Amino acid sequence: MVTTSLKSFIKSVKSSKTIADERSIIQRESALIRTAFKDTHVSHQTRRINIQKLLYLYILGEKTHFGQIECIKLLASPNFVDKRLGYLATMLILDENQEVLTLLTNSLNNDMNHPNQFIVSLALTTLGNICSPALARDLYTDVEKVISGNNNYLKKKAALVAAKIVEKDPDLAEIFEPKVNNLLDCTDHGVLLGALKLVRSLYEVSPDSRSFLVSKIPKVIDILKGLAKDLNPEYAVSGVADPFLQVSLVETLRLIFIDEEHQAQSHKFNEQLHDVLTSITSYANISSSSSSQAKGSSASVLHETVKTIFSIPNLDPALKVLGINTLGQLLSTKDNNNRYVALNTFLTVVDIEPLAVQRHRATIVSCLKDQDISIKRRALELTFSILDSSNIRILIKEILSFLENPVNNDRELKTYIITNVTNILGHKELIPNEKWKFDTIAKLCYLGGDCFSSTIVSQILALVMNIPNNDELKKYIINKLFKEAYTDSSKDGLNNIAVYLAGEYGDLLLGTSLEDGEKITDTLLADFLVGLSHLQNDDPVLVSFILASAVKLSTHVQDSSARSKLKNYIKSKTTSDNLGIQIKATTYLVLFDEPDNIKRGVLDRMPPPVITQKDTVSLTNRAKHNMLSQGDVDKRRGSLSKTEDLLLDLMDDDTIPADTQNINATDLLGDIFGSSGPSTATPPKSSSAKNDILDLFGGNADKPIQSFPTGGIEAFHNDVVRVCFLPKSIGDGQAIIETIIANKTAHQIEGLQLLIAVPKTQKLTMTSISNPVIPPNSFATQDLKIVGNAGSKIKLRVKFTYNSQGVASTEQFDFGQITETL
Amino acid sequence: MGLQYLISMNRQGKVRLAKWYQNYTHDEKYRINVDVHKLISSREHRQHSNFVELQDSKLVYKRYAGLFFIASIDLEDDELAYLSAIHLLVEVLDQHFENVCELDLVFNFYKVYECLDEIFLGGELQETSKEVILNRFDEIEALE
Repeated sequence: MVTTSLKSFIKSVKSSKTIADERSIIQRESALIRTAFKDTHVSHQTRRINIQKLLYLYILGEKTHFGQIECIKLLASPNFVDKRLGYLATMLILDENQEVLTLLTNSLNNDMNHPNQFIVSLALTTLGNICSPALARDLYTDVEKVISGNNNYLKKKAALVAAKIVEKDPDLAEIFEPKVNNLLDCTDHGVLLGALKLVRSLYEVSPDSRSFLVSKIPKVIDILKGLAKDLNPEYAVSGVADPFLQVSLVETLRLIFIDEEHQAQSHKFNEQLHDVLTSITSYANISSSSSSQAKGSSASVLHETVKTIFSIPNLDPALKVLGINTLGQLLSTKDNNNRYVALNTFLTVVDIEPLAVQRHRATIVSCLKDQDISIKRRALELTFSILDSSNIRILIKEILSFLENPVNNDRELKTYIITNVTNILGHKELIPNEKWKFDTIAKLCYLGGDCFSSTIVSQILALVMNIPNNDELKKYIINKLFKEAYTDSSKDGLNNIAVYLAGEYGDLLLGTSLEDGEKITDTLLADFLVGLSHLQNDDPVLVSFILASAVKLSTHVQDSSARSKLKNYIKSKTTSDNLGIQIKATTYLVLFDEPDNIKRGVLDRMPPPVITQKDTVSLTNRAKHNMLSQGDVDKRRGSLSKTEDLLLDLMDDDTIPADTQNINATDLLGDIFGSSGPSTATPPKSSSAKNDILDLFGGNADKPIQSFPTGGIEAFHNDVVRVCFLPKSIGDGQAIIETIIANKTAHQIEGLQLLIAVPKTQKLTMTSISNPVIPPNSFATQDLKIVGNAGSKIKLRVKFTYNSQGVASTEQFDFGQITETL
Repeated sequence: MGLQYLISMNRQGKVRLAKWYQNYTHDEKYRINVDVHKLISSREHRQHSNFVELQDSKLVYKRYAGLFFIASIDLEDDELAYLSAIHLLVEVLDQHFENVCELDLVFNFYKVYECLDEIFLGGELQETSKEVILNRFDEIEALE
């Protein structure tokens, strides 16, 4: 069988008229190559062509794993061209998880010691691309040799490979740490890039290296300073001194400088850092008037610099002002890339300097109307971040008009906006007045009622239910929401809300008018409820809501035909195949015709549920990434600066499963009207009159916590306990903090014991725990007294053990969310 | 940190170059190609920024004639620097192939990979000087 050339293969793939043609050509060739690989008599030339074709198949996205061994064979060839092709193919077709990787060890070892630098380079590149922990351990000595040599072309590669090696096996950090000095002394930009990457990797994987790396700060600052003067045309991009190296230098400085353990050590360099950051910022500002290419390059340096300015504590406030102004300038440019990046950077600084970011409100808001989704998303997040009581009206208005714009009809964005707006409305201190709040809710339901989760439905209902009963506002908003659902019943979330309110507050709703002046009568209400059920294809949640409303309305609706409609509806569900619904329907049917005095107790209004205050969530898990990429999260969690704490908060919110997120609101509302089955039904707390009946569905499920001291910062919770810290006094080198441990279950918790550790520089004394046994739905407290250097942060590592229902548990977590310092 | 992958595809979504710096299964790669194409090709060439988020990563991309060069980076990485790096790659290719076009990449894909390997190693930026890279290229070609 004669093999065609690579070129003719590519041509025939390209010229195929149909997809089917193309597939058949590809499959035929793939089969031919596969067969040829098995044949030992194939000529060398053919083997080479086959590997080339294999690579082409790889680019086309075909499976190529069958060629792995063949690639490894080829790279062992003494011929440079074969070797090159073999390595190239190996890098692409193999990854670090492949067993055959061990077959490479010998070739790599030989080639890294080869006299020809290009062959050494091939081996290094391959190792850098597919380094497994085993290869790292087998070959680090070869890499070490190259790093210590004096060939810059190879050194830069070896430094990057060394960085990969220590990432794969942190134990090897001690081998490469001593190489950093020599690498940083090089003037070659490529070597420096590699050296800085090695520094960052060492920093991340090896805590023992950190003290040494911090001592390199002045060296890095010097390089950065020297660079500004060095307009080496080989590296400068349109008149900006090697922006890549500048970015890498600044990024590395930031990483090392924020290390808390060595703050005392790095603090000495603050002034130097301050100078160099100032000069970069002002230098780049001047050149921002030049060509667009130069703008891009200097902007990337500027952004890194600004990020650094804000992540390092205790820098001169003047520098922060300079940083914010620089960002403001970038944001007001017409260049989309700069605006996107500026918004991103603003997001990282908004928690530190909210007021400074506020000043750019108009520009940020105008980005909401941009065409580019990337910019809109960032602007949206930033808008939520700068929202406070002074601008809530105007910002919510902008956000709602964003929601209204059909261009933005994206489910993810909608859900994000709805969640955040609803969370914000739960914060009393932000709300200008109640009327505004409920008009906003009405608008939100109108615009986004199709994207409500059950949590949102509960949150909104909780807000409405908390209006005092005799307030006209309650009547107003109930009527308004009902009208919305009546006019357009295509929005599930809105329907659920309207149905619930109609049942709960039927007396307030009856007698009011619709948009066109038509009175809301018994019949209209009954028809609405029954009609909705058919329209919405028997969604079990909605059916549960309708059933509950129907039985509740039996005390308010007098019209006999309306009553029988409601009753018939309930009756129709007594044979439902959804057992949860069947239980409800059967119970309600009995209840329906009971005398009023019996029903009154059971069907009375629900008490207003607790409104859980929730923070705004973030659109991406940027925060999470930010933290994780900086290495040892566990270690860092306790030692975060203020922003990062806030970011972490967001992250926590994201990861908590929805059902534990707002225990109060959801449980109370969701459960009576129980979503889908008997197992989720829970008796509401403190309603003794109703318990008899409600106990029918769902006996011993957990109750939410009844009363809970407020003001503490939640540090930990699981299904059983919640731990909060309540700072009582902080300052003058000491802090007194109350720990509140709450039992969330209906069973008693025994043998509670807390072990708390603080950083070595601080001293901790604890009172004994108020009660080692916590009764159901109650709590225990314990006071902590921390003494340490004034100005230091409060960081706790907490380990605690307890027994619940005879099962012993141990939990551990870190806490650093107290922003005040000693 | 660093690149997760770098892909070059034409406007129809045909991949001309793909380098994966992290471990993806065959199916994941396929999925990413499809998602990336859908996302990038729907964006306005001139009016939109060169950045767009895809799940937990950020795509930095640029269109040169009918060909997109797309790099995936972490959300907090410096997008402008990577955009410059993409531009550097294209400039090097352009000089090496003397006015590069899509067909050059199709027929010389192995050279494109070599070029890429001189700029990035394991997803990390390695060399940023056009001259250094081009000189290295010439030396290697002399060995053939």
